[in-house]
Amino acid sequence: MSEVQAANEIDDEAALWAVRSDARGLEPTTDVELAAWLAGDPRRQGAYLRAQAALSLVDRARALPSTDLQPAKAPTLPRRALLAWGGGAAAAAIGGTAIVMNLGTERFTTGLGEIRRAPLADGTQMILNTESALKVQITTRRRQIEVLQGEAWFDVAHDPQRPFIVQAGGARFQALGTAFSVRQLGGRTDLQVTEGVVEASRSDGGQRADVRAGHRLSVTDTDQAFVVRPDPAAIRRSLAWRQGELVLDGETLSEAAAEFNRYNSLKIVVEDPELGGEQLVGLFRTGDPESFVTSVTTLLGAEVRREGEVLRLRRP
Amino acid sequence: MVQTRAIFVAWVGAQILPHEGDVRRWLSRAGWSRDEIDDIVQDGYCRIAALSSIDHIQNGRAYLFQTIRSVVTDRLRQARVVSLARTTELALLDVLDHAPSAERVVAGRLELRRVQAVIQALPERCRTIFMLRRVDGLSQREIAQRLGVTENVVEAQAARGLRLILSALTGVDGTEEAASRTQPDVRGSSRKRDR
Repeated sequence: MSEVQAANEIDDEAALWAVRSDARGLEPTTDVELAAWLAGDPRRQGAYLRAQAALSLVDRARALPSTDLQPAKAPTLPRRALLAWGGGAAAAAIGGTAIVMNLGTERFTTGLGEIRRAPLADGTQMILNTESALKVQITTRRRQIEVLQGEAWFDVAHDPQRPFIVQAGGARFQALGTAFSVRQLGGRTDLQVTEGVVEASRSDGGQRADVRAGHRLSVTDTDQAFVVRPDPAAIRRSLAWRQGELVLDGETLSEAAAEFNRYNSLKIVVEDPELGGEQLVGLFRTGDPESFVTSVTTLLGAEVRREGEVLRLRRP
Repeated sequence: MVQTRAIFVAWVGAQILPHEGDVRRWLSRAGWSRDEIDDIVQDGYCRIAALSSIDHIQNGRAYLFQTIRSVVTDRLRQARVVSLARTTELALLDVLDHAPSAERVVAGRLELRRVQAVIQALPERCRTIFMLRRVDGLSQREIAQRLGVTENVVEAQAARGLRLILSALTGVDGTEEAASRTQPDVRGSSRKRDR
């Protein structure tokens, strides 16, 4: 009808197409209508790119910890993760009978890059991170977990009759109806509490500490002293692995590379220490180191060299 | 191919879009009207969209200014009457595009905080839908079911939110006014295209 479409009309349509292609996974190469719209006016390519760029900016902002930007229905992060799983709690209800049941010791492992959800018989939800090994023993008297290697997050089913105990390194964590993660990696144990309280103690009975939600406890094999500090934002970020995501908020490139290397056989090596010290903000998929490296090369002016299963990064 | 596009889009979001507001302010000072600015900026994005590679671009801000400058130069060449202010303002670009900006970081945190603030300021319904989609990660269908509306409404509201965010981020005036104007258009076009 009108000879020339106004720029803001194009922007309106572009916003709609950006939202729509995101929601339905459309590509101009496969969706006839999108392709036709783009072809209808040369300016539409630009408007579409701009609208998509804004969406990507929004998604990155989402990854930043913020007290303002809570989910619309404001469920806590662990609960939200739970929604996706359903079920599991039925088994716990049966546990009330007087029969002493030993469900035996079960072993859970994950391979490189694998993230596994494993609901336990008592209704506890467990998620294993990459390259992890755990032993789980659930009886009618107690629930005993041993983190041999790697990391796991637990949303513990409330059951005052059966203490929930996680052993890792020389430390012992007892949950009191809580959600938390335990990481056992490189001679160091980290406890991150997302809900409730965890009672931490040394296996030899030495030190003990109550660790509350939003706090992290670290202990190394050499030092053995508990260090507890509050860091709710960092905890939220560091548990993004449960969704297969890696959230960076001021971490250095070297730290980010080490994180990616936990998940993939394709290893990232930062050769230039100055480059390795560059800080990053962003949301990435743990299983996609190549996208990450491409972003880094683009945004930090680095160059990448691939040698077999190694991506080497440096400044030109 | 798809992945390349995603990286390109993320690059535009991180390196180009945050500087659009400055470009618009410069154009406005140079005496261009709001409609003309919209056209010029759109033309700039078109040229960027046509890039086959971004490897050679060191600085997104400088590149955006350079692109807009060439759009403006082309327009001035075509125009029969050339405003003196507009031609002299062109020289200012050289100064502006070298203004320091902390782009070593993938995207400035301040910028992301601003995005969060903008989302927070969206009209209630629009915001709810936007958050359910982008923060909670629900599908359009799930959102529609939860709110008891059609998927088209969800899509239109999400598009409206995106438009408002773009306006707020790039310093386009009259955000609310633009929104109320936008809505019927968006609905109209969504109806047309849906089977």
